[in-house]
Amino acid sequence: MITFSSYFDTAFLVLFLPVSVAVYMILPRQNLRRVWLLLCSLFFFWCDGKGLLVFILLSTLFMHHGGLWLGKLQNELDAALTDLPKEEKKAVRERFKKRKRLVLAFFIALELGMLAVLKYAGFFVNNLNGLMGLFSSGTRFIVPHFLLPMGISFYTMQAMSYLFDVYRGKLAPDTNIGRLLLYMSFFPNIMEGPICRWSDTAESLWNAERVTYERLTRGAQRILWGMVKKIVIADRLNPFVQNVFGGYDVMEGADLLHFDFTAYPGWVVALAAAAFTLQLYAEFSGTMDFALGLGEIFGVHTPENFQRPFFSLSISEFWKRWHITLGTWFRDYVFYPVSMSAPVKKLTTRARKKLGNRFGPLAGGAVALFAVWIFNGLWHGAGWNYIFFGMYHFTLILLGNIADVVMIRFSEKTGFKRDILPVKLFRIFRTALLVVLGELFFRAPTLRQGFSMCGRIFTQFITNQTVSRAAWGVDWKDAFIVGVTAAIMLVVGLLQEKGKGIRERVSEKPVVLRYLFWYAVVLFLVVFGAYGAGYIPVDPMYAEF
Amino acid sequence: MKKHVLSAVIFMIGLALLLLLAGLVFMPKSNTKEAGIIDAAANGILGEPENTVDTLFLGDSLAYSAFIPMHIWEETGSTSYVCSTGEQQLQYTSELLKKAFTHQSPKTVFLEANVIYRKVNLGTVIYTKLYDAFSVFRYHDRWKDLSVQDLTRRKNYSWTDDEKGFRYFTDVRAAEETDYMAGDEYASAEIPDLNKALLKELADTCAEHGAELVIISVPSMKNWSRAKHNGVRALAEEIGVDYYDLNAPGTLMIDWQTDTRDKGDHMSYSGAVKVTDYVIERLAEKQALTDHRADPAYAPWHEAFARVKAKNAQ
Amino acid sequence: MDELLDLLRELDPEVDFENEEALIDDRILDSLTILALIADIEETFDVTVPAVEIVPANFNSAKAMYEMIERLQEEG
Repeated sequence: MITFSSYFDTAFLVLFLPVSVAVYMILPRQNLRRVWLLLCSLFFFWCDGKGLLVFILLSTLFMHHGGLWLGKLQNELDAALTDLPKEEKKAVRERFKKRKRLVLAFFIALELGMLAVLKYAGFFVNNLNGLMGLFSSGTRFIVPHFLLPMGISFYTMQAMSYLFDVYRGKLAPDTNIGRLLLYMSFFPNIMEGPICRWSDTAESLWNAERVTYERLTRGAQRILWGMVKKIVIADRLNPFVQNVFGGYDVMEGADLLHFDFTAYPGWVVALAAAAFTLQLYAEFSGTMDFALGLGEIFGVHTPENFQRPFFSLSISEFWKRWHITLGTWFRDYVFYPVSMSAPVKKLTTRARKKLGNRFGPLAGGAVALFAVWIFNGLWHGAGWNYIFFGMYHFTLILLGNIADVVMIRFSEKTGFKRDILPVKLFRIFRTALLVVLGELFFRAPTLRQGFSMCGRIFTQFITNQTVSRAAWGVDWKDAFIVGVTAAIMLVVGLLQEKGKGIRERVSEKPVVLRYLFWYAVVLFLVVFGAYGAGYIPVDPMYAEF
Repeated sequence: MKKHVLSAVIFMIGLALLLLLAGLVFMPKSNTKEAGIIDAAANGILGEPENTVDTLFLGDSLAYSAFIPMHIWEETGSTSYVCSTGEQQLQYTSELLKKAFTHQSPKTVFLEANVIYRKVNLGTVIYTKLYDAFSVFRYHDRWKDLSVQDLTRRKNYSWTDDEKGFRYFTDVRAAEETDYMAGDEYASAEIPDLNKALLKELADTCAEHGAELVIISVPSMKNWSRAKHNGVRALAEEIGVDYYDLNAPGTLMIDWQTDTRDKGDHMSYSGAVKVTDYVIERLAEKQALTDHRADPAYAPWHEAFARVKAKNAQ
Repeated sequence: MDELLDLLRELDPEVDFENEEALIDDRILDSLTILALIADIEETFDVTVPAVEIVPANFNSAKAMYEMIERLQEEG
């Protein structure tokens, strides 16, 4: 009947969104509002994949059961510990720790197993077949292909963080499976995240507070801003990015000719990589504004996923400001556990003795960092280009950390100032360039094409090829509007960086100015948005991960 | 609370007015393709002088490939127009019909049945209505060609299509003849509820304007079947309109070697002539044909006919 | 407590560890520095810091760190 390809789908905007909010506002009782949110979320999920609903239900069931089991063990431990002399406590604790670990491993394996089979089976079988080909064996396995349930990469992370936190004793397990299901399936977050934590979000979600006028307007304003980013920038840039990365067709007489990126000089390929980076940022952060704005209306505390990443001085800082909830997930559940494991700890201690306090920790850190980035690459998708993308950033962060130590010593000795504006601007620019290069590999359909495109930028930056209007996919007016909107984003970012967002500033103005301001934003979106006849909106870029 | 509701209402009213105003600016000032009108051929009916079109054809690409107004003119002197667009959905059919009724009062409205089965999304229905009310949504992309004149000039829709909405193709690609209308006598393809509701709305609009709605299926091996025939037949009876199925065996002598331009999907010119001749017979039965050839007010039709003849002879 | 402050100052002499209360939230300490710090703490105070304890609440200020250390010593 209805499928929603994104939150910017007209069916979602004119139907689902108004109805879900309006009914929520009318419902007089808290538990009705809860049920309504849950119904909306399940319906949204059902529209996407019908039977695939069973996977999120299973995931929730495992999470529920695993949490309760871990909780029970914890209670038994607490009971066993009372009245026990201190010497024996340690042994009892160890015994329970082992059991808890086993339970945790079992449920994590279930959660991860569903994700692995549905998302990665095809990739591994493919590579296995390739490997068997090397040994010229005739055996081949059938490459499985599954439909992915919407948001599986996101909600699986949420389920796992819940189980880890219960295991660590940070959370008391929840007995109410409805509460868990809402946390897993809440429709504003299901498509592209953010990846929430139980301790941040679950309570406010289940509270299903009444909509207040203030939250309604603030939420709507944020949604509007998200729409501007997505519909004006991301959708408008799409033909250009699509043409360069995916190739384009031209009718010549009766023949359909196909051209790929080699039809462009290197500088256009570089421009396309930059355009894709901007598009990705506009799409992803725009969707986050949408999700968080909607969450704000429902009174839900959703974690921020972006913090103006293009003001970062280094790659390592970039990753603390871009897709934040994924980064913190990996930090808490991969980085620290790996670096605190006995062998890595030993390595760190030894390295510090040899290399000193500054370089020493890098050794152990590097091992943990490597684990993080392998997982990060894989999380984005089963493909060598994603793994390369992960390794690229791993290398940059590691080099950055080493260079940082060197630079600190250098400035201590020479008095060179690293925090004056020109140097900072240079570092920001350099970081952005490195990010763009990484995104080129991220967007390229294959790793091989990524390398070829990269090669083209460095060896054939300028050629005598002419790029036709059809090859550009966009005209200079499109480019102009994208430029203007990007400049507005920059200004908004600078204001936020100063600690006071645009919404706060506007809300202090007299009513006439306020209305005029928001009218201007709506009109800007309506007129310059790339929608309607002749435009194809981009699919949510992170929904497929 | 009251204060908030009030300010929200005021804000929304202001916004609606603003969008309407923007619509006036962005609306193409002439109904030619160059001026930026979408689906210019179908919208050409807006340029026909008031109350001069006797018959209207609606539908998707099957319709603009099969009904030839200039052939009807040549044979009978009666006027007609094809308001059809590719992949048309019923809510858009409805919108085009309503637009046509603002200046025309056709006696007969033919609806090509293929649109009845095209899936319609509730969201699309709502936003088509929104687009209809606020033309800035449909024509916003004209910001690229906007000039000062758009602020001052009033709209003047006087362009019309010489072919009157029909699209002339010379291609012929034969189809392998199959018994596509065979099959279970009682099978009936279900028409989605939303489509039914839209069709009833369309029938009501016709009734309000004193026009007779007729449902017709032009021959198409790719698109039609016994089950669809039965489904539409039942619906036509339910709302009390005539249904002609030209796919039904024995209705029309279609030669699938020459009468299709793309292997059984659309009609070729020779196929279209056969369909149009059939339509003329039915209109004659209904006494819905008026001969305007001697009327000097219809001189432009003679001129358009001459131009079409010359162009298609090439 | 003084021992802890010495450790911290050695890591980064420019930070006012006595008063700073958002070491993690404001990204003053990055994850690699935390690793070095934990190794120091384990050596100096003879405790083991499990990964579970590495949360912003435990590392945002010198005071919070010290409380954590005391708790770990207690649990031994």
